[in-house]
Amino acid sequence: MALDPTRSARWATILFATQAYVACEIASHLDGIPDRFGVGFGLGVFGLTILGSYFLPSPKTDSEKPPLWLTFVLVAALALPIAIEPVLREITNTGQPLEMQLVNGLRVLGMGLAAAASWRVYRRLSAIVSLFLALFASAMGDQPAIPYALTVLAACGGLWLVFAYRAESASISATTNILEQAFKVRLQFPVRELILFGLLAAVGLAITLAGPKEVIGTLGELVPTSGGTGEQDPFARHGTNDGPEETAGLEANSVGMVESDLFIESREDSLLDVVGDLYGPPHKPRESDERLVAAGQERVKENHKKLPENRRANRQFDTSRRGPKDARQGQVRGPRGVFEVEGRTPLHIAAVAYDLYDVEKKYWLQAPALKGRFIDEESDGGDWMLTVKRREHGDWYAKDDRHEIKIADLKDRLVPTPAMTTRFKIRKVTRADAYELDYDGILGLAGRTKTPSGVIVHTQCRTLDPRNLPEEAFAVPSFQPNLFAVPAELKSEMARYAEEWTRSIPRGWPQIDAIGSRLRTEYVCDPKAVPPKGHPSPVLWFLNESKSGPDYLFATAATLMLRTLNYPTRVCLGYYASPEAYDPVSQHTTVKSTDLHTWPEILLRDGHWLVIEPTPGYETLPPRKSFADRLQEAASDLGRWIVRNAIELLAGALAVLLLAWKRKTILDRSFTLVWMLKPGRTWSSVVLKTTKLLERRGRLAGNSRREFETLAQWARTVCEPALHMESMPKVVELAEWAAYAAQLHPPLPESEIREICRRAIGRSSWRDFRKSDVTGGAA
Amino acid sequence: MMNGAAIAPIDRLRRQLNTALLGKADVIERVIACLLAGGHLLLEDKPGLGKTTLAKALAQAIGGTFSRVQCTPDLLPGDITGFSVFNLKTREFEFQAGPVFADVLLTDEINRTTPRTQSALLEAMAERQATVDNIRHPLSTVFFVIATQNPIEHHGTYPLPEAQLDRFAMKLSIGYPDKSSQHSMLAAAVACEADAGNRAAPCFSTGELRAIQDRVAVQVVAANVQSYLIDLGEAIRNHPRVTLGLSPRGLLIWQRAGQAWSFLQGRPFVTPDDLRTVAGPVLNVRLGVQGESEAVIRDVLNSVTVPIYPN
Repeated sequence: MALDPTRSARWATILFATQAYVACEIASHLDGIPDRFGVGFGLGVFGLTILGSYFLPSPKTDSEKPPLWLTFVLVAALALPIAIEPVLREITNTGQPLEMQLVNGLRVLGMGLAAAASWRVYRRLSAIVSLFLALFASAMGDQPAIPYALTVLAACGGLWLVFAYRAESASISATTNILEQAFKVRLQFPVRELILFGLLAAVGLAITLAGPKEVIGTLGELVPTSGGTGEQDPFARHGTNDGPEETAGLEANSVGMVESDLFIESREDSLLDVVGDLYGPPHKPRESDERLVAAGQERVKENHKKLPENRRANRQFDTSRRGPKDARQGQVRGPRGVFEVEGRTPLHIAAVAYDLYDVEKKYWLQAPALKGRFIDEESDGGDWMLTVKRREHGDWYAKDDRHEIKIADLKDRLVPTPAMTTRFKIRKVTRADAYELDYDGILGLAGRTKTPSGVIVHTQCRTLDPRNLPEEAFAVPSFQPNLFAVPAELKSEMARYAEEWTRSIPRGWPQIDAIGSRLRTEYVCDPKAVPPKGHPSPVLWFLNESKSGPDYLFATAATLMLRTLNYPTRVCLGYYASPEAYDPVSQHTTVKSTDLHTWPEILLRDGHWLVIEPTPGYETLPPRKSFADRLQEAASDLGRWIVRNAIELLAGALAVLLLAWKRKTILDRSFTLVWMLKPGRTWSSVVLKTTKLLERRGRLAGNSRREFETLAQWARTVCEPALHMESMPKVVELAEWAAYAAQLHPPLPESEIREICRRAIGRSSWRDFRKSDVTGGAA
Repeated sequence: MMNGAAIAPIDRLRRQLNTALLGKADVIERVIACLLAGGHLLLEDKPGLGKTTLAKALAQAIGGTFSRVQCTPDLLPGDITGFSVFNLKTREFEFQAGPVFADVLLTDEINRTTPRTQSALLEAMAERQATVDNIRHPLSTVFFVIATQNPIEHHGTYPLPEAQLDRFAMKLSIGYPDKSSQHSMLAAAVACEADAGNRAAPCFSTGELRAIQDRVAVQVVAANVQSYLIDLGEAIRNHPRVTLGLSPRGLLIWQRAGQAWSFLQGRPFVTPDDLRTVAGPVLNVRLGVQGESEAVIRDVLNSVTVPIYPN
């Protein structure tokens, strides 16, 4: 099979330039998703490129120079985005900075050069522009789609090299056929080269997907950093500004940033203050209650050290707060948020855990601190620490998930970790006694009041699909009895609700989910909804009367109901990293102080805490989907999108089909229209334009005139001359006059010549130029 | 369009030659082109195909004097060019013109005479003059040589070297006539008397052929056509199977032959088609090729881009 080398090189150039255009379009949007204007403008540019590739002149010989007017057209393409910017600003009230306008001009220029890629110089220039745009896209954008776009771009570049080289080889010598005969070389379609290219790409892809993970991971982290982050390769050297720059200290409390973070007690707002801002101040207990508080001292951890201020103040969580004074918006001082999360969300990061509910004071009391050694260093000598309080291993988990949590302005000594964390690390903080569990599953820095800003906590946690939990996955009542305690005053009501909501539902996750679902669907989360002053039970008010309330009432209700069903449950106060807070620029999820949240957790037999989310608008972290699942989900999403846009898609598909089916007729009519609008001033230009149009029809009909064929030879190969083709020989004769004897007096009057040309064009179509059965052609 | 005055004699010539050689209109057309181009013709074909008949008919049609030389190994150069004879009466040497001083010279089996004699003829063909005893004698202004040779017999022959073959404008083969032409030929032979061909009248008046040749020489050859011709020449020289490429003289002859062909087609200008049509006869006589020259010529013509539009 032998395709026209120049034509295939032109299409390869268009493909290359289009992909560079797309990559830049992705990079110029923060979320990587082009807006409507961008898509529309891009489609318009692409359409013009395709049309231009048909209409723009092609060189007859390799040495022929492109016409000067084509240069002006390309310059105009370069200037187009700059020229229309004022108009766009007027219409849309948005604008682009000058450098982006220049880049956009370059993108349009690249497409224009691709349209003129029949000319070698423009073909090469287009490739150069495409390469530059690829560099720009990779430097400017770090959207997740960029690597994929650049991968496709690289493939297009490889194809361009194959076809451009083929075109250049064909044009080096005019005696292509002689070369073929002499050297037994056939310049056919580079099938073998393309197969080899495809194999190399497939091998690369296979290595990426299924190769040794250490190699892939190390390679992957080498690219964005200047020397590796050490995530995969512990011996990788960190580059400048890569990763944290902690130094190991001699004591547990000497850890901090190189930038000399302050290690003094801070007088800044504590966690207590933040809770008060968001939920409202706690109500003042009656004097008689203070004895209960004192009694609660027994559960306070014996600690000779002074407990952090905020920790002591959060021993109790009041469920009868008066609500926030204004909208739930904390004051943001200094850094953007409390910490930044890199990794999948949503994420529940507990700060304080509560187990006993004092119905009279309407307080949750904090859970006791753990005694014993619960953190250990990983044996491989790395920086990882293990949370070792696990009694048995559950086999209901999916693949572990990893996160990085960078502290910004945390008003606590909390080491934020997601639920079900199995291992964590802070670089260079490799001593187990630098950490302690304030509560089960909630880490803190030992002996500190505040976790320093800039610390990055690496975590690895379990994930699971709760539907896979067997009934026996939950802890038994004999283990931590506080987790099953329901105040007597509330027990009957809670049990009634629980029984009603879980009637005929099997034990285990179905029951848990039933309670959570009822709360999510039938109750409204309203931070300002507070029980009337003096109401005996906020939770009953919430369940029976208001059916709306803040998240801690959802958590309280769910916890008490689950306890009546013998599920070991506690309430946690912490931070909720919401997917909606994801920042595509930094690729992190910001967690602010306003993201404080309350939720229940159930203890599993192996010691992990399962997050339950009964509050509407909040979700739990699902297990990472397998590739097959994601593919299926993507297919389902695509199917739903297709159904939603069925009419538009059908209309578009029909239009495309019609255009494709009738493309030759449409092109023929377009060319003919151009000929009619500009037939030519002199008789020779009329004849030559007519000849070109007839040749175009031959190309459309698949009967292109070969380079070594004369017009007369080619004309003999066209379809059987019907009545309307009688003008063809005359046009050929006139074309010879115009081409070889233009200085002589024409053989016929000019009017007659124009009439002959009009007849030849008007009475034929591209279909008439298919190759006939008549043998014709070269000598 | 062809000069109206030239149509009639050309048509007459065409008719006469087609009458003499039946069924070979295309060969006759090329012969006429060669004549109008002012070049010499080499007919190479098997015996009995009408080479001599064609040559005699052509000579008669042109008019003027006709000479015939049967080349043999003992033919001397003086037998071609002429020699000086001492006149006892006048006691002076008198030049006796040889056959080369005719308007049309038929040289049969040119490859049977010695290279020395061949050189004498070929020199006269090239320079259109004969030097005898240091005296230059100009030849006819329409001096036209038709040489024949047999491609089969090689014993006792002296093949013309390529450099000397370049003197000829074209090399043609007549080939066997088709059946209908053979029928016509046989029927005509029964009805006609011996030497009937000798009675054909000349087609050209005095000076008319020369005028037509001058007219052919000014046929328009556009720059793009000349570029095409040059490209063809380059392609021939670069062909791997060509041992002796096209010389500039050959290029000139090719262009002139193209002009003659375009003249015969009634056009005042040369087209690439004209050049392609005469390519075979023009190139066959002057290329040194390994193997078949037709294939090489076909390769070359199918490899060079034809100019369709003006520069």
